[in-house]
Amino acid sequence: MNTNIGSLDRQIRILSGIILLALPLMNMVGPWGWIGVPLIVTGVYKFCPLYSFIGVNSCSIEGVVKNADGWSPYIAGALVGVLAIASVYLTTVYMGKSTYIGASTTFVRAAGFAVQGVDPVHVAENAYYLKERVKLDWQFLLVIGIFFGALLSSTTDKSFKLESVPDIWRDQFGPSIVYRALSSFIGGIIAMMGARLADGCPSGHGLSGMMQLSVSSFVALALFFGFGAIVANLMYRKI
Amino acid sequence: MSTEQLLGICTGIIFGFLLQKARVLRYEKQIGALLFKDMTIFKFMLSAIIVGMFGIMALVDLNLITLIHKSMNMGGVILGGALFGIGWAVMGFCPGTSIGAIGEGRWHAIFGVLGMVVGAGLYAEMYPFYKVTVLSWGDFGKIGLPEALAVNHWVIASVLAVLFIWLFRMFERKGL
Repeated sequence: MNTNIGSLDRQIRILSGIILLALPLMNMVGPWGWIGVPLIVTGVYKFCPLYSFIGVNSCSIEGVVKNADGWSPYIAGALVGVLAIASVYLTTVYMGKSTYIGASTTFVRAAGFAVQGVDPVHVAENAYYLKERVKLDWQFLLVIGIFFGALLSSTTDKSFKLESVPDIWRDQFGPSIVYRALSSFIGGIIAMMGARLADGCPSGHGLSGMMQLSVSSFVALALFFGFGAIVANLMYRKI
Repeated sequence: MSTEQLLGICTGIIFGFLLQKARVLRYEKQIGALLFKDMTIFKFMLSAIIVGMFGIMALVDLNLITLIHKSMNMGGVILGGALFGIGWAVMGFCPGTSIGAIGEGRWHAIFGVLGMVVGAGLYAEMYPFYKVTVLSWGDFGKIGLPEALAVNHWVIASVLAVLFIWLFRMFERKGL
């Protein structure tokens, strides 16, 4: 049998497996702590059937870190899953209401703040601003946090790069920043109109809604990718 | 800063950190996913969904949290989903990743962010109109797939997990 589990992965599996297993044995959680068993078994034998099925391994750095310099998207994604679970639980405990990760409502609040600077009465009377409430809430701070998290990660692993026009854009549409800016701006208007109508974006529908198995999120995500794929293929078709 | 705000910013910093580490904040990755040439975003999102889905169901079964479904409003979700897809491809970022992209130096994303703030403002002005038109075309309410199909949620989640893992295998085999 080939081994496909590297030493760090192995240590994490065995350690977390023991902790998970100890929880139901001490009557601290329900029976699901038993998922520690396969973690320990796979760790001991250095072989994970799931890795073998997908075709990845964690023996070499290349196995975990597939895309050039970052982390494996499987690992970073799984950690986002853990973050989402922890965040729903913590918001329920500390805010009294289960709150799921999202981003697009924050843009409504940002627009509300901007309009407030010119005409506060208008914002106070607008039905949509009243519905979503213009304030620095949990999600607003989350969106600000995304900026700082990305800044922290990119500056500490030297992947921070000032970019005015993406390479693939330059190859297709030329180096002008004006076209990129215009396309970005107009695309932004259309995307946000859509996100507000659909009541979510790839964070709110794509991650949080799918995790909750919401019907609307399956439909929304399929349309996001479907229409996105049509337009992207039109923009980047080979002439 | 209130507890709510502190919780929000901490969650956001970790979220942004992980988005950047997976390298999904880049224009190339977003367009790559829409062209089905680079599946990094799918790998990232579906991995998050597999883990999050089981954890959230366990917490719901233990009565520790509640589900907050978004409404299955026919006009809103279908028209909105299509519009979002179009705008996403033209902009090259989604709302969350645009902010993160600026954080890692891709400053052209700022025009997308400005466009989205304008779009949100326009939506707020047009809301009374949408409410009596698009948003009134029929609403199935805040439903989940388990209720809609009358199948246990653990069964649905397990089927999805198997499907997603099978997709991962396909992506790796094709080198996407």
